[in-house]
Amino acid sequence: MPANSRATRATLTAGALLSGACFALAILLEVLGRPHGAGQLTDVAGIVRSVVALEPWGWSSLGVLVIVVTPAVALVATALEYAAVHERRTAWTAVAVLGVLAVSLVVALLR
Amino acid sequence: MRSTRGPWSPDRIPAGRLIRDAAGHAILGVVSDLLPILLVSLVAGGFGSLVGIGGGLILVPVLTTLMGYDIKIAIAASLVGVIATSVSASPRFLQSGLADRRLGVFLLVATAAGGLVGGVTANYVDGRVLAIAFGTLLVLVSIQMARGLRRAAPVRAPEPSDADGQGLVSSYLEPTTGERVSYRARRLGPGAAVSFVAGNVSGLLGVGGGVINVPTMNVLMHVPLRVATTTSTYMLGATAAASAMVNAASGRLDPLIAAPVALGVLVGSRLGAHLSYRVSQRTLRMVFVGVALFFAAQMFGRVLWP
Repeated sequence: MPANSRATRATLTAGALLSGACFALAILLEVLGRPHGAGQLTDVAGIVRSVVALEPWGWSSLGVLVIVVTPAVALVATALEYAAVHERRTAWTAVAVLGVLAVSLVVALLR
Repeated sequence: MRSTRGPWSPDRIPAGRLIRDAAGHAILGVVSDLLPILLVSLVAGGFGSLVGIGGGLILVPVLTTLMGYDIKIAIAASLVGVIATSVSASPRFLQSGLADRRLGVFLLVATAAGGLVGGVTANYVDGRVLAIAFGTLLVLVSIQMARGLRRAAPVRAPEPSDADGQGLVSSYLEPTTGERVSYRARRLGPGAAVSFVAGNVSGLLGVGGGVINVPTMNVLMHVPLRVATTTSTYMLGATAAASAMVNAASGRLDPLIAAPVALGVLVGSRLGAHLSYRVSQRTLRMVFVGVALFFAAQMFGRVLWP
C-alpha cells in the first residue's frame, strides 16, 4: 500500500503560508517606514526582540527560519508516513536526509 | 550594516535601498528594490516550478547584473527562493501523484550532502569565479534545453515489485491523456552520485540543482520527464535548506532581501504548479534559452569588462 502524503503536504502548505505571512508583514512594515532592525540569523533572542518591536528584519528573519525548517519537518512527516505502511527502507532514508540536515545545522552553528 | 550592493565587491555602495544611511536609518526603496525583486521572483518562481529548476537561474543573474547586489548575497537570497519554490509547489505535485516521493527521498541523501559541501565551499570562492561558473552553467543548461530533453519510453506493464534491487518501480496518471504510465527508475547508484554534484552546484551557485537532477532522472535513470521535473521540485527544498543554513551562519543571507524574493517565489511557484498542465514545454524551453543566454553574456561581461 503506498504511503499517504497528507501529513507531508499539510506541513509544506503550513510552512509556505506561515513564512509567506511573515515575509508579507516584513514588506508591509518596510513600506510603512519602520526602522529595519539588524542582527544575526543565529541570534534567536535578537530575532524575537526585533519581531516584538515590529521591525522588518525580525519578521523577515522569522520567515527565513520557518521556510528553512519546513523541508526538515516535512521529512519527519514523510518518515512517519512510510513507517506507518511498514516501508522501512524509505522511512530510514528520510531519517538519513534529516541526519545530513542536522550536520548542516551543526556546521552552520560552529562557523 | 555592511552594504549588500555591488556586483562583485561587497565594499561598493551604489545608491539603492535595503541599505542604511549614515544615521543608521533604513532607506526605503519600494520602487527601486522591493517591487522589482517581487516581480522578478514571481516570474522566477512560476518558471522554476514549471520546468523544475527552482528559479535560481533567473534570480541570481537579475539580482547581480540588473540590480547590482553582491553575487554571494544574491546566491544566499536565491537559496531561500529555491526552498520557497519547493515548499509552495510540492503539495500539489504530491497530491496528484506526479512527484515520485520515494525516488526523491532516496536521491535527497546525496543532494543534501552536496548542498552542505557547496554551502561551505562558497565561502572560499571568489565572486568572479562564481560569476564565471554561473555563466557557464547558464550556457550549458541553454544548450541542453535547446536540444530538448529526451523522453524515456514509458514501460506499459508495471514490474511486480522493486525488491530485486534493480530500481524503483512506480506509476503516475498522465494529466494530458488520463493514461496511467508505469516506469522503473534505474541506475540508482550513478543517479545518486550525479545528484551529489547537483546538490553541490546548488549550494555553490544558489540554484535548485534541478538543471542537473531533471536530465539525470530523465536520461540516466529513465524516469519520465514530467515525473523528473516534479520530483526535482520536491527535492529542491531540503537540498537548498542544507546550504541556506551555512549561508545564514556566514552572514551572507540577508533576510531583508530574502523576504521579497521568497514572497514572490512562493506566489509564483504556486501559479506555476497550476499552469504546469497547460503550458507547452517547448515554448518554455525557448523562452528559457533566450533569457539564460542573455544573462550569461551579462555575467561574463561584468567579469571581463568590469
